[in-house]
Amino acid sequence: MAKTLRIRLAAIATCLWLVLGLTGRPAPASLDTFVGARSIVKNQPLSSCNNKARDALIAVLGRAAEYGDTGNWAGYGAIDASGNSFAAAAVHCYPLDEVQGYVVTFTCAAQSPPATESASIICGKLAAAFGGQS
Amino acid sequence: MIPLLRRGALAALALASAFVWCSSNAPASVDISAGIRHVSPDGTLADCSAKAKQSLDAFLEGAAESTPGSGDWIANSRNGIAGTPTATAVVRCYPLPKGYFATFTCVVQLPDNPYTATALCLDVAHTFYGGAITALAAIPTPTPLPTGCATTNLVGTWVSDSDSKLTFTMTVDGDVTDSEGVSGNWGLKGNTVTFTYYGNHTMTLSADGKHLSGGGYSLTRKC
Repeated sequence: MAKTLRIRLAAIATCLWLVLGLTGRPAPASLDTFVGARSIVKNQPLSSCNNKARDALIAVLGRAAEYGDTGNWAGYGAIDASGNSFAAAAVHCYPLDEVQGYVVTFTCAAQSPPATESASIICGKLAAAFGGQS
Repeated sequence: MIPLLRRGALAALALASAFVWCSSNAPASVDISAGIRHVSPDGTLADCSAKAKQSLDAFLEGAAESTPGSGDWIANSRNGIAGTPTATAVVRCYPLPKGYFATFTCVVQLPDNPYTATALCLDVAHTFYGGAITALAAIPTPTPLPTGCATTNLVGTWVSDSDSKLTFTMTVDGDVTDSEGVSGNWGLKGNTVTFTYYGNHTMTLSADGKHLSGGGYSLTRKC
């Protein structure tokens, strides 16, 4: 009786694992890149763009870094247990003397699956986070 | 008899589980490079766009303006092993009162792509404004799905040698369906075939890949 029960439990466990394996098998990942918004901001210093770029990247993706002192920023999304990230974005700031301001651009990427948001959605959130700052 | 059937069923499940486990893909990750910017003291937006298209097409395919007249250019690599592009580069041009500036952003999917985003961006940027070019490794060719006429696998249709009305369709996923709709599984290791169909059968694939025999069955490949 006990042996029969063990066999049944083993069969159920194996079936469950098999189903999970089949349904959880990852589909081929696809690289999604989006050319996001470009905005001209008047009467603001370049430092304002840099601060907003950093804060927007951190708010949306979690991390941000500037390439030296260039106004070129990049950020990565959350990292999984294996050290992989599946979302990234770039924000470029450049001063415009003629308007005493700057131009800023957003470019985003996502690898889906497993990324849950597309590159266009990430860029939309970045632009909103950037523009929403005072 | 019943315990034997249970053991057979368990063995079949274990085999299928191993197949599922072994076929899982390793996750990839996104690699981005966005640190290169070029300022030209002369030239127009059209000049920048022409260079952007030329430099992108030198390493990628199908460079196109994301919105006509925007000066924002994007191009992708050809399809990689998963059948989709594994590298993308973006060159964004902006006109200045004198000249223009361009930013370079590259994204690749690792480990599927054979070079990094930084390597791609350096080559695209150096083609744009001049500089050393480092050869990029070729994108791996997409793995073609096996076809029924490839004798290195079992995918395709097989006919029973003892009953020509009995056929088996074997798919790339390891599924088997006979001509009456009864399903099972197949697995191939070397020339040894595990055929799960009304129980488990061990069969042997002939050297020419056209015949299967053993376990009470004898089948011939129908291409």
